[in-house]
Amino acid sequence: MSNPSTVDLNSLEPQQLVEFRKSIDQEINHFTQSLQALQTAQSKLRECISSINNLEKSSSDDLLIPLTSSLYLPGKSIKKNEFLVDIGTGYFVEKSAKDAKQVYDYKITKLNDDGRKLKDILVQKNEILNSVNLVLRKKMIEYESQQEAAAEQQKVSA
Amino acid sequence: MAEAKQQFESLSLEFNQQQNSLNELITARSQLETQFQENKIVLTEFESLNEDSKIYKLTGPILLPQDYSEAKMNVSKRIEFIEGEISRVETKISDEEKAMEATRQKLLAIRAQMA
Repeated sequence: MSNPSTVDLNSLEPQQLVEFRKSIDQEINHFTQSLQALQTAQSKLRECISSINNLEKSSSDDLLIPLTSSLYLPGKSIKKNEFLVDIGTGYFVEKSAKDAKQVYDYKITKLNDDGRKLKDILVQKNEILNSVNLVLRKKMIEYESQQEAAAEQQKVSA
Repeated sequence: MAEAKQQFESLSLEFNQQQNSLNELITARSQLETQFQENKIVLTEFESLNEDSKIYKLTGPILLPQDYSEAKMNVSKRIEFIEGEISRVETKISDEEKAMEATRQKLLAIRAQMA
């Protein structure tokens, strides 16, 4: 569970190295997925901002209200400067266009920060993976040459 | 010898079970963490609002208006509750880890006997 911070990779058995590589692979997968999730969330937030901008820019009050994804009703917006913003866990707050955009901007920057952190971790993990692979390959070569040497000796003694 | 083997098998079964329940606990822990973070975001959002802001709570399919102070209190309560849950799950995790370690030691001892 809790790996001490410094373990010499060279001191590990090949089997242990393979296990270690598997767990790193899993971690990398997990982090890549998280990164993708962050990026989708960001693009959704950007859509919210552009929707607000579009509504502000448009001169007419007409809009189509979606009843289902394929059925729309013509409608008119009464207020163009008041939005209900989902701030999470089921709470919605009434906000002006400016404040609403601020909320989304804040979330986007936060996600950017998190994404950067995730990328750093991914780089680190990939480095570890590379060094594990390197050591593993070296071990394999050593093992093979040992096997050959043993075979040679057997031949000689036989 | 046969007895040791039987013991070894039942112990390794126990070890697997412990591993499974540990995994479940870890999933629960990460779910709690997600909830905790989400609620914290909501609370910081509430901090930046004032008494006059109109707040609605999604209840089933409808939005019900809710008082600022009430909403804020609810979220703070929820954060407290989640923190409690997190520490509860964490003690469970460390207990399970200890139990696993104990089983592992027993397994090793029996394996040494059998060899």
